[in-house]
Amino acid sequence: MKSIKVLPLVIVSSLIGAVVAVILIVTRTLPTQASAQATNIDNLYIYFLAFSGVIFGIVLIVLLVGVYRFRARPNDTREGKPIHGITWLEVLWTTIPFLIVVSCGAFGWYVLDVDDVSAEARKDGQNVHIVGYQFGWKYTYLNQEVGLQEQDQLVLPVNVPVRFELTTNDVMHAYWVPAWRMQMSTTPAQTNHTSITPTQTGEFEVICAFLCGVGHTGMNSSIEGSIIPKVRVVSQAEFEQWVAEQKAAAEQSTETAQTTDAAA
Amino acid sequence: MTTALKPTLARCLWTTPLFAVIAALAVVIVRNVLGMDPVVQMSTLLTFAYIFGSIGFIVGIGGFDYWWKWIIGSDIDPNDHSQHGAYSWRDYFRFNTDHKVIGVQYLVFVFTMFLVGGMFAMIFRSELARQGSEQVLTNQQYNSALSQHGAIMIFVFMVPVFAGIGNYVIPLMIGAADMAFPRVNAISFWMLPIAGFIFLSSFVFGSFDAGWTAYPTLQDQSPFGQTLFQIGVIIAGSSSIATAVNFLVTIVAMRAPGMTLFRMPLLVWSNLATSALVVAATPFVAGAMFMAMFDREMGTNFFTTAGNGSALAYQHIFWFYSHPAVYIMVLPGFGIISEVISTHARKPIFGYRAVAFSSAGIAVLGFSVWAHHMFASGLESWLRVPIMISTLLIAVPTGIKIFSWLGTVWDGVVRMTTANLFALGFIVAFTVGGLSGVMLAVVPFDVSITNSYFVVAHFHYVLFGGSMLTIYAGLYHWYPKVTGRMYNEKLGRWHFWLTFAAMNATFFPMHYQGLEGMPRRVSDYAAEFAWSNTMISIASFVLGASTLIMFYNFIHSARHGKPAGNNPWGGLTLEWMLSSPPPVFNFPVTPRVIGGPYRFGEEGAKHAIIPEVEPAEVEKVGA
Amino acid sequence: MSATTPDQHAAVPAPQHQPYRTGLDTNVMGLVIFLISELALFGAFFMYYAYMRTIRAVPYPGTFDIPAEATSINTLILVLSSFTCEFALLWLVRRNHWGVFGWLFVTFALGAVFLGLQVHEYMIIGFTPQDTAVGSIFYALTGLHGLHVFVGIVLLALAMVRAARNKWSPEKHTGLLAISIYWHFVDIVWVILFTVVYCLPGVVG
Ligand code: HEA
Ligand code: HEA
Ligand code: CUA
Ligand SMILES: [Cu+2]
Repeated sequence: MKSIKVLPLVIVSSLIGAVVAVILIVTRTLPTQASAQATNIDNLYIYFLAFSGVIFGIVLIVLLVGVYRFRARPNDTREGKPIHGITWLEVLWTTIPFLIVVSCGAFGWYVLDVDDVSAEARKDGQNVHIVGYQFGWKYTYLNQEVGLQEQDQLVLPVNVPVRFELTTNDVMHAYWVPAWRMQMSTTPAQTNHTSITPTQTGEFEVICAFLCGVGHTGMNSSIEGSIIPKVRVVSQAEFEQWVAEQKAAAEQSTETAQTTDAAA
Repeated sequence: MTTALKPTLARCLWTTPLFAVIAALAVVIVRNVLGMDPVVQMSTLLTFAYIFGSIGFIVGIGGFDYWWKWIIGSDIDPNDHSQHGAYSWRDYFRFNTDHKVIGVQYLVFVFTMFLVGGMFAMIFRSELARQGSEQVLTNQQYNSALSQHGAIMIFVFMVPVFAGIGNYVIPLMIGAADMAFPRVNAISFWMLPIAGFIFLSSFVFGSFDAGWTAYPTLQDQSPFGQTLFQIGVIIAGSSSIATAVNFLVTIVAMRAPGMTLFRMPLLVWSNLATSALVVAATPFVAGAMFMAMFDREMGTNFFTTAGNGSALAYQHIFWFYSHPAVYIMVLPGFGIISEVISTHARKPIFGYRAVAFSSAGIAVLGFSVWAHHMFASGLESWLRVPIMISTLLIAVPTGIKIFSWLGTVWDGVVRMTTANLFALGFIVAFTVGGLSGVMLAVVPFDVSITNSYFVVAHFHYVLFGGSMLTIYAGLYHWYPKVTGRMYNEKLGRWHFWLTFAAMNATFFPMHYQGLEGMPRRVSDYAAEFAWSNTMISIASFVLGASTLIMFYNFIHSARHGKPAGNNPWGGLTLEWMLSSPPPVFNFPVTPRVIGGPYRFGEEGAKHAIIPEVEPAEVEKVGA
Repeated sequence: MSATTPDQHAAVPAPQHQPYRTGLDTNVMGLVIFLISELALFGAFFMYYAYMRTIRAVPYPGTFDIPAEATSINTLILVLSSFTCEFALLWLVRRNHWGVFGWLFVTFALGAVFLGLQVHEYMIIGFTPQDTAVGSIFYALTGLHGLHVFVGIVLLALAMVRAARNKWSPEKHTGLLAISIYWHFVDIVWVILFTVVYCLPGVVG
């Protein structure tokens, strides 16, 4: 049987791996990219798939070929070559993975950096305080001109950076909007921060991702019969209108309260 | 003396309740003296009853008899071997100091726990099989089943199972007669049934339902079962610390002459690294559990919001153990793979030193990455990037191992035994799990899918596709040595292919579910996940059923398998130079190691020799 | 166990573990490794303390200053006991087992006094384990150490029993050695604890 050269095999297998990677990339199924951040994170994911496919291809193909090429025949008493190592090869497969993971780190750090829009949000964006409780969310708009308290639904203007402050009074929850590629826990005894720029109008699922008791499953707007309102992203105009409505409603309730007091 | 007084399980039947009751009464009395009310505070009472009951069990089984004699200074014969070795099946059910017996005890016990933990998985998989909530389990029960599954699989299966394999094999491999501290060894085994019992008995008190990570402040809301979880973890942890000390001393001080560090089989190396990890890391989980327990039972404020406590602090301490723990759960597996592959590929391990040192590298790096479980938990933000980098770096030493195994297969003469099939399958599956791990290590990506099924997929690929397959490989590799008979290859192959296929069918789709937005630890899900979950559940039942093949194979072959002979695989390490099963005291005389452990392909190369001795000399050694 | 075991043993020669490659005393080695993991256990609590006091900046409950002065007496007592413990070993070399007994007893007594003062401190300190996280960790650290002292004096008592029955000899006294090492460990941990918990708060917040 003709012998197989290692290097050509590695190249071939990495090509096969690349094909696998391409397939994985084109068949990837992710929620819609409803935020500026989502795009970056998905690029990160595509990069992962790219090198993961290649690495996996190399491992798999080299293994299969090796096992087939060097399989033992029935009652075969031969022994393998007493090779205890090839230094340059070992150096190679130490340095290349090292470079790959370093590139991952660099890319990741970069994305982490550009995804953080909290500064812009503070300056001229929305600032929302989210309280997770068993089992739901309360939203308080911190900007003066909005100034809505204890809302049950999160409504945001599109293309405006938003900064979230998350906290809880009971147990840990995690505020997860897959379409935004954003998750942040509401950890007891502290306030966590995250920021996002919605780029798509519409309604998006909001999910509590952290086990928080018997109601954890239901704390998910995508579950059938869930009472958790989806997140709504609307145009600036609609947003202002919505704010006005909410304020009116709030006044209504207070007035009715006062009138009832007077009646009493 | 009557059996009720001899160190037997029979004696435990009264010592355990005795200690428990005494502890309970003591609590009542103390509370009475200090004028606390209510005087009978059930949960405190039970806590102490459980803790001292456990001690009572160890006393009953005979763990302390020897030291007691030693303390009161009555004469004891330091090499009285009456508790050593198994001459009938009964000897497996008593306090036995023979590392081979203990190894078997470990394996049998932890695999029963595996069945239990797996059954929990089967149960909640059947809840997940179809969309809609509370079909099979109430949400409460679902959380309990899930937590039991995680806790049992981690603390009383995956961590101790390697202690079991190591117990049987390591002393043989290094040419020792036994572990350094046989009695400690036996005690640390008998702690495990206690831990397992405590976990399961928690169902009487509403079980525990905060997940295997049991974060505060959710765990403060759980029923009393949660406290039992903490006690169980502390006991299981003490057990693995004791075992680790034992391994370290055994490996450092009891190697046969000529067994230099770089002549040690790689399983010994990885066990050395693992034991170091256990000794340094496990106390942290004990600490976390103690604090959490005090919060629940004594009203302290370590993690409560009211008393300025920090729930995040728990996560720091917990993961400072539990990340190293994941390497505790895979490093010995790496060692097994090195043994299996080089033996069945008839080729020296490729780059022995690199593989040995990479274990150490992983062990050291493993301490610097704990916070990658907390990227979305409000971790101190300056910690994110350093932790991301160190986590990513761990891929490098692990890669060295993977590639070295490929290099070992290359140019070998690969025998497709079941053991080897599992080893090769492990390489593929673990690479998948590792790669998804690397993705999770990158902060922005992690915070976009953490706590989703993507994570579940990751850790089942590394835990089942990784650790579990190495365990199978090890079992099939040393089964002939332990039982003296060959298992049925045909069934073995069936087991491998079914498990491997079903495993991928079960856990691979989970990546996609996670990416598309399915959170973990839920009993119901959006319509879009309906069909994929049905497929997964079916696959998982096949996966479960496939393990039954192995159990049948092993139990049946233990009687009817054809005799294996001393060295069915033609291995060179010391254990293969002994009869199978090995004699009660392993080596008639201490062997001499004269070369490396994997000298395949060299003409008449030997790893060690057992010097011939005159019977007279045997007697002298024996005296 | 089955009655046949003993004669079977006669049949099988039971070799010693000798010869090892290394002449290390396995017992002492095992103890040292165990103590390392004990240190890690304290480490968990110390790390929590550091985390809460620095990163979380949680103050001590209420208005109160830790009795560093009073406690320094305690520290002296414990340090002293470390020496008296060593004396026991010196007297062992002189094969004077009552001397060994005596010094062990002194050590035991000092340890007991330490515990007594510790408990007394708990009574006067002015806050309980339930008062804020720092209160909890204060009691946890001192309590965990106190527990170790307690185990220590129990071991010392046992050592005294054997000493009284003249069971220790300069040739065979690993047990005694082990107990003394453990006692020194407890002492060292206390010194660390004293500096971190009692002295530092005076310096930082
Ligand atoms: C056996 C157990 C085991 C092992 C070995 C690993 C290995 C790794 N794990 Fe895993 N992990 C778990 C068990 C394990 N994990 C568990 C149980 C959880 C969930 C806990 C819970 O929340 O319940 C978890 C969760 C978890 C998280 C948190 C996810 C989250 O909750 O958000 C992260 C994040 O960084 C992570 C990362 C890694 C990395 C980087 C490795 C690396 O060690 C992997 C290294 C291996 C490889 C990379 C493959 C082989 C290498 C090559 C072929 C070389 C070439 C490769 C490259 C260049 C990339 N793991
Ligand atoms: C060693 C570790 C280990 C192992 C081996 C397994 C094995 C399995 N795990 Fe495990 N799993 C964990 C560790 C492990 N798991 C951990 C740590 C968690 C996290 C818990 C948490 O979130 O707190 C988890 C969580 C977890 C989840 C996520 C649940 C959720 O988040 O809601 C799921 C979902 O499918 C799952 C499934 C399975 C399945 C199907 C198996 C199968 O491989 C099991 C196969 C084995 C058997 C079935 C037993 C033997 C067979 C029989 C007894 C025969 C009879 C049965 C039948 C024929 C049906 N596991
Ligand atoms: Cu709130 Cu899960
Ligand atoms: Cu980890």
